[in-house]
Amino acid sequence: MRKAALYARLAVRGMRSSGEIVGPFALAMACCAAMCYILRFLAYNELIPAMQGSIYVQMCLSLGAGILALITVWIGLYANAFVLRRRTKELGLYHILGLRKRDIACVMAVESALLCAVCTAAGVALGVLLSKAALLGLLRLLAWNIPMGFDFSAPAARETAIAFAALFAFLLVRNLFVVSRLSPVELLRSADKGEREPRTRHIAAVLGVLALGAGYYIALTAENPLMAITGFFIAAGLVIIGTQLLFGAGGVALFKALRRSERFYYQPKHFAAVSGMIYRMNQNARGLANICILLTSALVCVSGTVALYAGIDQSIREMFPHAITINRYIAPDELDAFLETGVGGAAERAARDALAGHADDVQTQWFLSYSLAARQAEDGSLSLMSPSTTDLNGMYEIMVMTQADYNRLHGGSVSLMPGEALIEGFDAEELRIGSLTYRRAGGIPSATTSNGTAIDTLRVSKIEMIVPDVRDLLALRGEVEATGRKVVTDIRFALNLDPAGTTGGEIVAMEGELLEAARGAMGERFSGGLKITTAASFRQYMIELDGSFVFLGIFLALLFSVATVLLIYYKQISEGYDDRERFVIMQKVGMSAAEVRQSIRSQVLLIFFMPLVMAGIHLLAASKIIVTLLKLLSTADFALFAGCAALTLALFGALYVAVCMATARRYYRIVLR
Amino acid sequence: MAFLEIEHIEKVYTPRLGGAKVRALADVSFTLEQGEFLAIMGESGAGKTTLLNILAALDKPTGGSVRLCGREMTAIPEGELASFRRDRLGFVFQDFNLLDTFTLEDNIYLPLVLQGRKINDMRRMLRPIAQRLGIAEILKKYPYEVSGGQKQRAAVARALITGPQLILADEPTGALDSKASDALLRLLGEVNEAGQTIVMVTHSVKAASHASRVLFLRDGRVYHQLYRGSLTGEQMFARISDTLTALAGGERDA
Ligand SMILES: Nc1ncnc2c1ncn2[C@@H]1O[C@H](COP(=O)(O)OP(=O)(O)OP(=O)(O)O)[C@@H](O)[C@H]1O
Ligand SMILES: [Mg+2]
Repeated sequence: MRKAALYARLAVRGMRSSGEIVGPFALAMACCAAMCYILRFLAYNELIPAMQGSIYVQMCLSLGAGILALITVWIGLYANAFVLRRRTKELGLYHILGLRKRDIACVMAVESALLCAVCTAAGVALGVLLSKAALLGLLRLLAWNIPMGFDFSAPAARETAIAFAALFAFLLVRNLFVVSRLSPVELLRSADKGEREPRTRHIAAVLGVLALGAGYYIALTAENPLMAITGFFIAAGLVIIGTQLLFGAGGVALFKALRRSERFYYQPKHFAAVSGMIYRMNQNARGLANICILLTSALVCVSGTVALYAGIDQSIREMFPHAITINRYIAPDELDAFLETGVGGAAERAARDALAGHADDVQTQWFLSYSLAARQAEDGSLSLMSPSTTDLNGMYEIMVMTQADYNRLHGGSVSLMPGEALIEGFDAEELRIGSLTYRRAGGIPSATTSNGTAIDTLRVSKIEMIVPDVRDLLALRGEVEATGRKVVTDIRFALNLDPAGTTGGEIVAMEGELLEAARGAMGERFSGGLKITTAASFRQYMIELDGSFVFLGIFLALLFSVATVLLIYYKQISEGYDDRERFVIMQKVGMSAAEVRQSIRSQVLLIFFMPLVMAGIHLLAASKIIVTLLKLLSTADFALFAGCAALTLALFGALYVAVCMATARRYYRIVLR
Repeated sequence: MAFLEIEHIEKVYTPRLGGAKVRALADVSFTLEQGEFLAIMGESGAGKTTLLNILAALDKPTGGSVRLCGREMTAIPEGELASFRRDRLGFVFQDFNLLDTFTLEDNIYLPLVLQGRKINDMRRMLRPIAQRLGIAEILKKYPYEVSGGQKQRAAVARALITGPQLILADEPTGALDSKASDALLRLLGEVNEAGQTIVMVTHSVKAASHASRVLFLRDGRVYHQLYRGSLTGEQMFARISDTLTALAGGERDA
């Protein structure tokens, strides 16, 4: 019992005396615990599953949870190792003073338990405070109605506590393992282990350049969105490896070059900074590379997701040229009946009547069309694509409609001979698809009424065709069928409606009514399979999807920022302790306090500008592949992303510099006290 | 006006985390003229290093006053003190205070760099002094790669290279063999003859016998002073030995 009190006293004293390094560790862990609580709180929140589109939120929440776990464990390992290194001397002293290793282990266990309890409690408290804000933010992003009220999620708190207890137990086991392998003399010495001057590692530098170059190459040449997902992860991996290698080798080489330049080196403000940094570059490099990678990740997350969100309206305009589309696929054996009964026109009239009460004016149109994808072969003909292809090179999307529909919609008088077609987007005299050949009789005078399709976003080339007869649509379908694929797309009946003076919400509310009207008009035979899509409901879908991504992006950026700030802080502290003696000696030899400050500023700038500049370059190199990826989900263009990226970079750059300057004060204080 | 006037200085160390206070210097007064070679002797813990630190303005006395060329030391602003240390003072520290991240050469350049000298000047100044101290061959090595005596000689070179008005040397021969000590003492003698003032702390009677005056510290006070006057080296040696014996005896009586 007396022993337990002793352990507790030693543990508290130890942590208090090294509060400078234990404090930030605890704070970072508390922030992680708060984020963990918030994620679990949102996952348990009963509002979310009640809404449609919650699946994306859930997906993002679990993705976020995975990354959170990863980063938290990493922060824990890193900070814990840092704290342990600084504290081994004290533990060694206890050992010399007669505590057995078992006792020391007990002291460490008490410390871990205390730290864990404090971090978890503070984290959950912070999480509870912030969770409401997070929920409101998420709901706002998703354009959902915001309910009021406040709640605490006990299961979320419980899970957070369990997860962090496990983490701290794991860290404790590691520490015990490390300490048990040290002899008392090493325990005493390890805090001030002198490192030798590192050699420049040429091989590492070359490998670093190669890895970085390869990563950049992949990122800069990404054209195909479908390949870009794997490409992105490969490129990211290469860039991470390259960054790690380059910071060590490149840093040592850079500072050695600076030292060789005597005019630069033998100056009061550079002399101390440069020599010290060569010396510590190896231990610095890992931290700096990590700062760079975290910073880059945060930048990519925020700028990418924000660009996605900001581009929603533009995407909707391009993907949905019409407010409402009612459509149905017509099988070949239904085609005659469809045309003879005139149900297309009937549906158009019924829908117009249904809308008339709600809208000031309604534009309507209906037509049949057939769409197929083909690739240009070497001889200029188009061969039909296999459905599983991911190679978009030379790919065309062909949209075909009949001259009857075209004339009806546009008041034209096109009259084509069999085997002739009006072709837009493909300039050859003849267009061959499979065994069919059409002679190009000219371009299409006024634009057709293409409905945007998913493929739109992939930016494949488009061909539009007007053919003489509905039999041509069937013939084209026959060509597709002849490739032997299992699912053959049918001819599509589309009824586009554009009411004026109605809001998106009203349109969404009328979806059912409109569909019923169309069904009624089309009769029993054609009412099955009839679907309605509205730009407004798709917009809500995109907001939910992209909003979830933005939430995830911001969440991750916060997480990365916590890790980055902690890294910077520890870097400054360890720099401060490593430099303290040097600056004390310099002052004894005649350096003034002002010169010390100047020297430190020069050093902080030299050290911390590297990750920031490098992160900026990474972001620039990544912009191409990010835009390519964004095209999977939106019609985002480069300008939009560039704007978001520049804004994010400016914001994070300013914060970064502020954090560096603020933590540099710690450094002065350590050196000058 | 004397170069340095020390009047009744006292230094009490107050430990930061409570505990007993230590009175390192109780009441020390003496004056130092330009061009003197003063040796300070006394037992370990007598306050010699403390005294040197106060003379170099690295530490402040808790009582009394130190005047440098008639100016009260405490009234001199920190920036001016830094340039005093840089331009007019050379300090050979008891624990050398060499920087592990610099080669011996760069360590010796340090005060010159702070003065803003050109590298070519620095090289020119280093060559003769490194030769005299026998460290010319090891200048490219790092402190952790050389012996204690070599480190000490590098520390001496760093203190002397600027040609300072005042040299404070804390046991500069402590880590040296007798041959290297003799060479160093000869060098200090020459430097002193050229007009530089030297204050040297030493435990070695032989080293002290090179000085023009020897000051004995005990219990934080000046116990005795010996002037060389016209004595030869051997006579001085004998007088110092006698005084030290008396000093040790006095302690037994106390
Ligand atoms: N920074 C300090 N804090 C507290 N006490 C100190 C400090 N520096 C020295 N002392 C104490 O002051 C007294 C004088 O120390 P000082 O270093 O001046 O002795 P010294 O004469 O140089 O001894 P030595 O010959 O061993 O170098 C000693 O008792 C020492 O313990
Ligand atoms: Mg001493």
